[in-house]
Amino acid sequence: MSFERIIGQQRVISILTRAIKNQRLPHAFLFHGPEGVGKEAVAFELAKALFCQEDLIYCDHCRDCTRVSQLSHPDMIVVFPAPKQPKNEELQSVVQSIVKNPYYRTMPWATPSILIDVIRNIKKTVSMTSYENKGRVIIFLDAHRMTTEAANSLLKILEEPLGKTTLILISSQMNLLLPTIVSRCQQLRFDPLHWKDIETALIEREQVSPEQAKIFSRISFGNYRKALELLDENINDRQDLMIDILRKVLLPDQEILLLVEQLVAQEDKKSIKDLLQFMLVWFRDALVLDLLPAKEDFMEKIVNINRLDLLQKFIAEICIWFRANRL
Amino acid sequence: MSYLVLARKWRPQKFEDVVNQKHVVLTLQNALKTNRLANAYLFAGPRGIGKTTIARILAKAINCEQGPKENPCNQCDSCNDITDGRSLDVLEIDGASNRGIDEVRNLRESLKYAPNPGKYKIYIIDEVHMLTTEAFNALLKTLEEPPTRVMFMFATTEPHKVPATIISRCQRFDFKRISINEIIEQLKHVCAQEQIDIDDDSLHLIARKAEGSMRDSQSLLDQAISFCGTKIVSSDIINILGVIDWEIYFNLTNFISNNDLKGAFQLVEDLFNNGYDLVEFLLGVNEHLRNILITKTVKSADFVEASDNYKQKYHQIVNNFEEQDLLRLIQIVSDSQYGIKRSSNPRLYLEMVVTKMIQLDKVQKIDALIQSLDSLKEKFSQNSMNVPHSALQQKSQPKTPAAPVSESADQKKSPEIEKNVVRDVQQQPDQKVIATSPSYHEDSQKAHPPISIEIIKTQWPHIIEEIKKRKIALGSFLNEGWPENIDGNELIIAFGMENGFHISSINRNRKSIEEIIREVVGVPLQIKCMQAEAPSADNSNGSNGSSYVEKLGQKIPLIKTIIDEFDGELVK
Repeated sequence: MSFERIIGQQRVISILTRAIKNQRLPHAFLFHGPEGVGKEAVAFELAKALFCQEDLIYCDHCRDCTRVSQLSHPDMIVVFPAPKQPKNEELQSVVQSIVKNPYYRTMPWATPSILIDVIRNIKKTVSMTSYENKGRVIIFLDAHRMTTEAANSLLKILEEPLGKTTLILISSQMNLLLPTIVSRCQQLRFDPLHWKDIETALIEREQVSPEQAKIFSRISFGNYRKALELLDENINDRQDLMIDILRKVLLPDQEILLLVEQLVAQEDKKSIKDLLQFMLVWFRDALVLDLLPAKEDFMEKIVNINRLDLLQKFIAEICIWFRANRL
Repeated sequence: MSYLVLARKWRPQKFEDVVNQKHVVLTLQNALKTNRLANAYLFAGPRGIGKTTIARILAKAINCEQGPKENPCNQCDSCNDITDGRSLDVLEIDGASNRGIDEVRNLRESLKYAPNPGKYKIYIIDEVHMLTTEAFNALLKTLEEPPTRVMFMFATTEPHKVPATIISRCQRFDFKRISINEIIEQLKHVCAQEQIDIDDDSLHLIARKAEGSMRDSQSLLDQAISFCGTKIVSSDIINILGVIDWEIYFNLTNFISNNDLKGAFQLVEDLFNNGYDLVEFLLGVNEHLRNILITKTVKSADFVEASDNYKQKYHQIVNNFEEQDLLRLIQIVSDSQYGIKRSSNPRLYLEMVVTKMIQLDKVQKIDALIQSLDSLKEKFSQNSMNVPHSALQQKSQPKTPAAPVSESADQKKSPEIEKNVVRDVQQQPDQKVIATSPSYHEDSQKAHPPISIEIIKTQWPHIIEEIKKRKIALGSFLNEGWPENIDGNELIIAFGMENGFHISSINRNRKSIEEIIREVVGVPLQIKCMQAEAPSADNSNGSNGSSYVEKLGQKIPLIKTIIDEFDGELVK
């Protein structure tokens, strides 16, 4: 069996499997779709399919396949955004994180780009035959982070690459790519993962408890990477904190200022951003619950499903609050 | 694997095969015929419409062993070499990678060697806009007076980035986007040759998504073929290309006109779960709204790019929307396009946008508004003469004149009386405060005077106006209904059969409406909504109320204007 490591994405897998079987793989792919849905993971599996000669699709245990998994195949080039002169350890840490879990990747730099020199090097490499004569795969992670110069200099090989070269561009923000780049690739759209798929994956791969998995899978909104990131946090605490803040805002309670001060001192920017995101989702849940009060309607739509009673109370309270403050 | 993507396989090899660039092809062919070739050409235009292709064909036609002639023979060595990209005389340079001044210097060095074996040395510089300024400037002299038998062809998608000094030394050709129909024709041709069975709807979807680019359309077709094999139907296309079915947009506008939030939430969920690009969806919504707007204003769907089936549909839904509403909806969507791109949670963002669109208060046409205002005024002028009297008599309270009383005198009286009298005068804000004070509340609860439906009817416009002051939408909703009957302390408000959703929104705001009714008529009433047929004549007391002033107004238009404008009353 192939593509076993992939979560969900049945449509994408069936398209690729058919293309492999019919020998109609294009030379340039653009995998696009939201973050954390497995574009990178699928790209590596596709690379295996291109190298592996043991099986119709790929076997996942021959020398080619294992070297792809280890990111050490000589004919596979993985390009990811990096600063001009990256430290070797940093590059290694990125590679290691991908090897460990293709759904997750560390990013040690603030705003790295894919630079024109990298593309020039690739062109040089591509002009020579591949080491093992089974063709070459070049994978661009975060392709939208190519500089304009880099993107333009990629255009020619993207249209008519030499030899048996397959280019896979991966981007979660296709609108940032040059239209000339997009037009040269066969686009493959990735869907957000269904929360049920994420739930199963979390339980099976990360040994998360089923109750926790339920809430993680919903709050990540189809983004498995996000779900993995959230694993480190105690989600119940965050929920309680957010509800506490809301309560103090609505009352209004003087302590809110103390609480804010505490937050600013203790939390970093990202976790505060997450907290706001939680709050946004909470409001959205309240809206959904208010508009669709029937149980069978909201059960599938609400995120904070473990705090349903509080949510209902919140709606009642906020109605009173608005009435007192407006009409 | 010797598989070539369609776009490469079907790259035209002679001028005739190039689609929709007649103006370029004809000019070039005539130049070839008369041997009036320029030494530099600039081909500009969007992606995937044939710039590089034409450059290559032109190079072949020039260097063809039997040429230069109108079309390359595609058989001689020279033609084959160029097709395979191994000709020594035709150099295709990637302007984006070789963009520095050093590369241009090298190029100039190579100019001095004569072409061999061809007739011309041809440099095709693709993506020329990426050359640096220095590189461009280094080219200038060569470009103006190149050695004989040297020719330049530049291709670019962004001619505005090419310096004017370069452009002025070239013959510039602007390539046109390819129309949907022509793309469909070409795809049909390709499909026939590749023995692929595809229906017209699919071709339409692909051509539409390609946005005038032939290469895009061929990549999309390629993708469809790799998924479906040799038989392609439109549902597959919708599924794999992420083309959003036009039906979804119609669903959305239906939800908007029916205020159906539940349906809209489901729609967003489906969009999200099917992985549609939500930004693209918003773009589509805007186009859809634009189509409605155009169909509405021009009263024809000729300017709408859609199949006949959908044009018909546009005609059907046009009457559900007012122009102003459409413009405001378009505004909402355009504003959110920027936001959704930056949003960390696009789905949530889209849900909010859709909610906003559905809860948007529908506009009232100014004409209609003036009309209803006029009728309101009319009723008031009648009411102020007759009604208060009866209203107060029924409450058996001492009452003075019907005509507006001076406010200072009234202020001292009890709130109930004041409320009933000053209805025609501009309401003072502090009166509202008095009205809602608890003492007043208890008072009226105790008194509990009976009230007839007639009073409510005559007070109705006034109630609505009060409500509108606090919440315009609610007032407009209530305006659609009429007081039907009074049952104990329950006021029954009837609505036309088509106004079902008004009732629900009124029920939601029942409390505040009841409060306002109590303020105006001085009696606590509970409201109950029902659906009914419209009444034949709801202002039965209007017929005998034509006053002297109105008669006067009818005789002398000027007086009528004055009365209307200034709320004139007969004082004496």
